[in-house]
Amino acid sequence: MTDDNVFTTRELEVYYGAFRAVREVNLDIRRGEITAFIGPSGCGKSTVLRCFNRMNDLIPGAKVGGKVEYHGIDLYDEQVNAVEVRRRIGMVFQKANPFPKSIYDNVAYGPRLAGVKKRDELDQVVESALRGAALWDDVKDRLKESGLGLSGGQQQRLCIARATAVEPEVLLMDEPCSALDPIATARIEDLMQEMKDRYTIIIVTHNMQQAARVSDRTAFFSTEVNPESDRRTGVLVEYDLTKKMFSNPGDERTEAYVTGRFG
Amino acid sequence: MDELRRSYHHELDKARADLAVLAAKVAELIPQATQVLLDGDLVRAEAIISGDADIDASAVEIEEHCIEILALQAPVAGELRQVLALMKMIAEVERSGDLVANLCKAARRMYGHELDPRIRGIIARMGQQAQALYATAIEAIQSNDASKAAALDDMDAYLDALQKQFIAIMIESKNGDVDLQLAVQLAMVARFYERIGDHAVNVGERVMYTVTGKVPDHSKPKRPKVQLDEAGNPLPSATQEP
Amino acid sequence: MAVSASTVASTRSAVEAALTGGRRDVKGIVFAMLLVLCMLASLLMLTVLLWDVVAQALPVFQKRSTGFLTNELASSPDKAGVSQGIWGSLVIAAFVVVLAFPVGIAAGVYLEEYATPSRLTRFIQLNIRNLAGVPSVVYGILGLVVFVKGFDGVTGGRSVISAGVTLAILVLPIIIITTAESVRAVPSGLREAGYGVGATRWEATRDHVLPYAAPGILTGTMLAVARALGEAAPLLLIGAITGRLATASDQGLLDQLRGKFTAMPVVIYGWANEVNRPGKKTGLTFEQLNSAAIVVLLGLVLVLNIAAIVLRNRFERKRQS
Repeated sequence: MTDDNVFTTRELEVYYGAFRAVREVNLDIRRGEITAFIGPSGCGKSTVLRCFNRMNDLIPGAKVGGKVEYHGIDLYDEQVNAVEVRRRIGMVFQKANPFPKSIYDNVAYGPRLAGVKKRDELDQVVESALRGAALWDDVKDRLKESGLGLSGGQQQRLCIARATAVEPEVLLMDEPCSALDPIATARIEDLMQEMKDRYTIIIVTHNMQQAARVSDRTAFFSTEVNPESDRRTGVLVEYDLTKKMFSNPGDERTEAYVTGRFG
Repeated sequence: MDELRRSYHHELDKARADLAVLAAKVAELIPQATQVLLDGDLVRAEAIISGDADIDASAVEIEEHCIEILALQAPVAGELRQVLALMKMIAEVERSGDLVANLCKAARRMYGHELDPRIRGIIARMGQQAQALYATAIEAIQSNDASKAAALDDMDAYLDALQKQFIAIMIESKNGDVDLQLAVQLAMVARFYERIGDHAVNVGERVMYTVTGKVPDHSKPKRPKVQLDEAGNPLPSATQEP
Repeated sequence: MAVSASTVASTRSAVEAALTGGRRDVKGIVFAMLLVLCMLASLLMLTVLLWDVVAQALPVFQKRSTGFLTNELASSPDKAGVSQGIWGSLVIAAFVVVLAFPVGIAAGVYLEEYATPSRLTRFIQLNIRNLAGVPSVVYGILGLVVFVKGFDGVTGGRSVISAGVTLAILVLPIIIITTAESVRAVPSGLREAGYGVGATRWEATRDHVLPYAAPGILTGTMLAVARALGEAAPLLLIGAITGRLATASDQGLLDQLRGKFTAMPVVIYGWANEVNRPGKKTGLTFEQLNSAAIVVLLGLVLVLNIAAIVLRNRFERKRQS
């Protein structure tokens, strides 16, 4: 494992109750890259993503097997505090979910929790986060207004600002653009390119073209039907440079998926 | 509204710029090859011939870049036309590079032979015209300007006329006392220059396609032929055909 | 495409007939009308009741004005007042607020946010729901046995303390259930967003879940207060005084709390049993006084809930924004 790897998973699997949702995922996520998870629905890409910041802890009955290592530390070790994990590994969700508070308070919430109390410090953090999310010019005159009053694309960028305000190292994005129109989507994709030098980004997307456009590496997940239980388990099929995945993939299942021959 | 998908457009512009640079390299080599032909500079000839491998490698690189853009960015409309046109133009430029190397190979084979001063004059003129054609083609690439593409057609007509005059002079100059090897090489030299001009015209057509989406209609009547005088200057044409 | 004019016209008229004709939705209309009738009927009944009460109560306020509110229980309609009843009900309300609200809200939040779903939690929730439906007289017996007789050293027996604690227990299930329901209705995206930026469970609950659930929780508290102020059966069993109640003016607060008491529902019950002879001075009957007492009770509930209403509106506005 080189120093450049931010995450390493070994034989990662996730159970919901007795049902194995994802099996045996082995991945390395490299620093400063955008990695995309693609695959049909039910293949477990969101499930795997949520393992990286222990959000699966919130689902009753969810159990994680195998190892997820962050800079060599097992995230699921008993000594590891999930709250600290989530401060360093931020998340943006599919449906923009700003708090029903003002724009300022939305962005300042995380830093306040982390101990930033002084007003001018908070102001700085909020401004830089909003600038980093390409939202500052839109909202600088209405920071006191509710975050819910923004358009869908702006709300999602607000969520990005909120996530980056605590200065995480990694940003996990779970289908961040699926509820947005093409222009808002393009804005966020451009934003991701700009953010690459500051964050390591993992994005789950069901839009293959988006994965092709933005990511450096792509992981393709698919489903296997368990013959006994007739339920589908997610499995990692191929993980390689995006260029290769979309021009000359190694696995024929990958080729069938990216060419649209099967959903 | 500010520009979106900046990195993708950057890639597109880079591919086009790389092609322009490659075409410029080839264009630079044309007068050098002409000089090689006229001076019999074998050292320079070798350098140009071996340098063609680099040109081929660069062409492959740009082509792969275009394939990457197609696979990853799924361009549509004008940008799709641009990428497709770029890929065809790469082929034209690469072939032109080969032709310049061929000129030098011909120089090697002609080494030692004296050339008739009229023939030397036409070779020099053909070299100039081919270079001018190529320079205009490069401008067309860089500026995506369809009007320059139209100008190329007329310039090529002149080059074609020069080639015909060249052949005619060759045939009448050494009647009876003809060195077959030299004659064949000279004929090929003329052909090479004329082909370079054609490639430049093709580049112009590709630029037009990028801009207008229309492929040139080759069923239309061809452009009017250019008449030349004794010294090889173009005569004003009596009638202008549409 | 040659189509004759007559076919076009006939097509058009056929389409027109299909679109504008069709069965009228008789059943639907009848159903809608029935719904409206039921609504009007219930509104009518409520209005009639209230109207009746207010009409009867008006002369009391006109003739005796604030004296009605400040006087103690007496045998004559000229003198009898509801001050002791108001005081008793207010103390009971205070017990409900201090005891039932925190405990109930905390229990509801725990059941929904903190406890991992298991057979045990489901069992507990089922039991709480059942408790909400237990008749209030049963709570009265509970209060009698445990607080009046069992703890009489602390509570002073048949006192307002016993009544307050009993009624607090009575409304506890309501508060737990409405709190749990409101917390369950908080969208999970909100929680996830909070956790996503590194909030602990407590921080996420305090900053996001509770404010969002607040309108529902506050509605639950309003229901609880209304119920607590209006229940008569437990009060009777615990021993609220009907008729006459003498209060010594020099009693300390603790002695007052541990001593004999009355509350509004019991006052109303008591006066309903009085002889309906008009008072000599004012000509008012106990029947009229009772209507006035009902108005006072309703007013009391409203006043106590005003804080909750204001808070609820503020939280709702923040949520919508």
